[in-house]
Amino acid sequence: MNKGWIGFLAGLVLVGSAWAQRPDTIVIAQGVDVTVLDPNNQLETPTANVLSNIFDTLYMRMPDGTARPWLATGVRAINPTTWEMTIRQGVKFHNGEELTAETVKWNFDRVIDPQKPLRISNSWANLASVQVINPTTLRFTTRNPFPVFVTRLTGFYILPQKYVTEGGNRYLQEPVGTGPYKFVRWVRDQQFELEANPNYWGGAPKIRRVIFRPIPEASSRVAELVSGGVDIITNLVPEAVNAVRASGAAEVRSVPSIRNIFIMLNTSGKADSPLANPKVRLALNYAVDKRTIVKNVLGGFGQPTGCSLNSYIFGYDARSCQPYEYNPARAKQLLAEAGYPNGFTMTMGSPNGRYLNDRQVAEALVGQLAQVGVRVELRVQEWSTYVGQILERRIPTDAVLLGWGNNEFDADNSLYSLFYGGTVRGGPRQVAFSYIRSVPLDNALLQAQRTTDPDQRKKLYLDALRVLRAEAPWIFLHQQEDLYGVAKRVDWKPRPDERLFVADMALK
Amino acid sequence: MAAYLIRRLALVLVVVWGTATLAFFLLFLSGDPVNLLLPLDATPEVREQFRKANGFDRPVWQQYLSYMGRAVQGDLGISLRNQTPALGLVLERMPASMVLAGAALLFAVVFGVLAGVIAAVRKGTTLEFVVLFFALLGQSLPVFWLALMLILVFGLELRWLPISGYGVGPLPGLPALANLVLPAIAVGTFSMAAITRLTRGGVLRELRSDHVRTARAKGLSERVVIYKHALRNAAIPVVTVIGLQLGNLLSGAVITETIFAWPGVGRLVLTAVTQQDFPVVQAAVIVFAVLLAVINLVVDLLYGVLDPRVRYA
Amino acid sequence: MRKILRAPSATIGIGLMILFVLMAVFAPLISPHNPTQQDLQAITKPPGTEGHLLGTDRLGRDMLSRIYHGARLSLVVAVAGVLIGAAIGIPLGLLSGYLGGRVDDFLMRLGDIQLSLPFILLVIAIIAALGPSLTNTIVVLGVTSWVLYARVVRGEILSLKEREFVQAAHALGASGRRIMLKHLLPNAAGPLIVVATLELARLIVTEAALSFLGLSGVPPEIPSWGQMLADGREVLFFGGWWVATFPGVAISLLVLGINLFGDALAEVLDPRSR
Repeated sequence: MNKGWIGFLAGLVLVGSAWAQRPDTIVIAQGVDVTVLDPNNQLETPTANVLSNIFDTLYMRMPDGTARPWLATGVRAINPTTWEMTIRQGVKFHNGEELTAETVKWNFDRVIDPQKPLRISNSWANLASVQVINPTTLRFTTRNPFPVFVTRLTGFYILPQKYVTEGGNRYLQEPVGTGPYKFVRWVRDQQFELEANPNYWGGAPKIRRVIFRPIPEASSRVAELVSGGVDIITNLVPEAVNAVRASGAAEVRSVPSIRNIFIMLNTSGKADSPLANPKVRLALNYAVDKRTIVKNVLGGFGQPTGCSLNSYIFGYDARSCQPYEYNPARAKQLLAEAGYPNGFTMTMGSPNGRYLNDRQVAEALVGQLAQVGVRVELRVQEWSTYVGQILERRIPTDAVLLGWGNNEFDADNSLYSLFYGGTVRGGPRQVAFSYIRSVPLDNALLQAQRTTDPDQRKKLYLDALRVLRAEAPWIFLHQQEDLYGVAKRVDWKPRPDERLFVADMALK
Repeated sequence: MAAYLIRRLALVLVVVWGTATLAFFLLFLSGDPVNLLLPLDATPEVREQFRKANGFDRPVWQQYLSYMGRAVQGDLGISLRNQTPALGLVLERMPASMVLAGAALLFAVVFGVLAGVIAAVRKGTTLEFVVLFFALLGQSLPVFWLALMLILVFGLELRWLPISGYGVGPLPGLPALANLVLPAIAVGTFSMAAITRLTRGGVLRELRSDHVRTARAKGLSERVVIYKHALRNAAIPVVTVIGLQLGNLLSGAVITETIFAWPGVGRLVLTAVTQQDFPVVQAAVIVFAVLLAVINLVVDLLYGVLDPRVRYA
Repeated sequence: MRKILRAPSATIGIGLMILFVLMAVFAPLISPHNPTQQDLQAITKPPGTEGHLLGTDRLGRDMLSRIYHGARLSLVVAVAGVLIGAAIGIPLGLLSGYLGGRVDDFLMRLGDIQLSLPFILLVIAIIAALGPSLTNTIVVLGVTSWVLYARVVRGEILSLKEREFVQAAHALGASGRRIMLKHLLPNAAGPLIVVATLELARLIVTEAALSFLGLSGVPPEIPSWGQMLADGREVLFFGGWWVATFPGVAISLLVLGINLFGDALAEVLDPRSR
């Protein structure tokens, strides 16, 4: 090998490290790339995390879970099915287009058009019409009372009407919003570049340039973080926490997530099937040592729970949501009372890599249930197949591990969506997940969905939680904690809703 | 020759059509794409609207016919996730895949042929044994394991080369050379091993053959004999391997592309299949089928150039 | 056989293969622990920890015992997959080569089509339709590998068909089936054995790759090197190098062994590579 050859190699290496750590640029690595540039036609966390820097919502979710006026300056209920909204004045899109009440109306009309449904349309099925009262005021009419109206506004992004309607497909290539960052360019599967919007209505953000990079392999993400290639990585595994800390290059930051993990049980079997018996289901809950699972399988990053809610969520009640204690003796006794002194055999499904150490959690659970004589055959499946089978109500197994991230922060989304069984006369059909049939439960859930009085709703949800406590329709496991690897130079606190608002970040 | 070409091109069409058809029905077997497009708690009404808007409410054979009808006109549909033309998404990833495959092949051929010749010329020595052993080792390392080890050694420990990504290359659309090195080695090692062994076998056979003996008898130097005669004739099996491997290199780089965050077609296909983005999978399948068929054709034609004995009938 | 053993590399290869086969056969006897026994109080313990020579995995299971048992899965999947692939591919190759014409065209195009389809798509669709299980995983691997056998048999037959002894059998009035089974197949045996050996190695790696991508249907209660590697890769650089490293080394060694053996076999059985 001659000297020229070595010099050539050295040159290669230098070119490669050209973009690491620049003082005005932050690099963020997520597992997957953005899919689409229309924020109202996507439901993926990684996509929303990028686009929510370009687009603003009407209300903003605060880190404590409350919703705060954002592009809207306020919402007022006129009666249970009519709402009035005022719009922030003087807000301009990145292309100079002005935000008016007309813009907002057009955005809603677009989402509720039944001919061209968008992926968020399901959330707005209750909305009948929107009228513009004056340039800053709108009136919303809903089919049924809509208590979650304001909380759903935190997921509704505002696009520029003229740009979208008159520019052909350009809005799908060069997105224009009102947000703190402007779109620069996107090379699919490589990088997504943003630059600060100096004229942002909320004040110019501190970091000038942002690069989002999709790095699918978790180990590659950590390697990049530790070697200084990226500043923030999502979904760090708990086992790597100590080593990342010890590397000295980065810190680990975590936050209790809005997501709960649980085992959904198929309770709809014949009366003599074990899972149709509440005593058996209660026994399963007692047989699982949630604390040990959280401590060891999740490295302590999580909270055991006893219901499908967590403390961020409206309607949460600490007493009814207390985790079932770990008591294998009691579990065995209940199983004996139910007529299964020697346990029974069931099948369980689990996804693989969808939630924090999901597969490991499922395997640990199998081990613990075996201790009380319940033999579980675990079947791990690829997500798309898994979800399809759950939704089509042909669960191939008696139980499935699922996680539920309630991005509305309201019990409606964690109770009605998961348990409503359609037993109310004249009421809606059951939801896809529900296997439990309880008239009092369904009554409470449907009423709470159609009442706007917060105190009344809280009481109804308490009723619902009590029914669930007695029925134990699922094995409740834990509230997940989200783990991020963060370079030392980054000043940022993670949020419960997984969003990565760069405007909240600063470089030291 | 012309008749041969026409016949081969007709077969290409048959294979592409068959592949697209099979893929279409396999996709239906894999599930309902609406399940993943909507929130898990979406109401049946909204699901129905969505099915209708995307044409999934029609019988499968109708969907198939209308898909094929549009496909022959070059319209492969719109990605369900990305809302952009599916074919564009696939073609956009092609340069990255081709650059990686090309670099891997270059690596494999250069080092494979070199090692193969050495092993043949030094037959019976320890050197031959060592070269062959390492060639087999290279063929035995699973690509995911090799890729992770390369990152560990050259990315994390020595910090010589970037760990992941495409980088910014000398020309738009090209990767930074430093970013290309590790993925190319990971993908190319398997082929390198195969080429080493084939080259060795080919050169050995040729060294024993009549025309090499004649060349030697004419007093040509050993070096000329090896490089001019033996190597040229040993090139045929190497071309075969390249043809076989190029298809694999292009479509089989899924794992390497995932580990190195390389923006190639393999990664796109994996994502699209797991997201049930039917039009994208379908477009990728068609593009690959065409590409593979063309590669096979080119390889067959190359035989003719390299070996005058091969005739096309 | 003696010829094969003459090469030192073949000896190493056979040695490695015997080692892993013994490991698989006697796994329950030589394992210090039950390979599925979890200990959540002792997760991800490094090699050399009391009672765990190779350490423990992310659920506190003994790595050494899992490596022993993992050999079973790899070998079973590979051998069964090769048998299925050969059982489909050889008859189709015989038909294709012997009958020629339309049958040949159809079968060979079918092979081209199958090879053009992305493997991931085939796996997901088949596993989605049949459900995740060990058997179905083997079926996927086996069914998708018929083309190579068919092509090899067909190629051999095309070159044999015109040879004197086949022509003679024809002239003597032997039936087509008889000619295929008695005369053509045995002559194709050498290359077939070589191909099958290499396929054995390929299937071991493919099964592991499926686990790596999260697409394998093998149930978690069966220890699998591929799954162990997939589980461990997230902690490979930080947190527990051993969880992925030992299965990674095990796969590489077994595949190396098979390849060394296959290589020596090829030198003897396949005259073209001699």
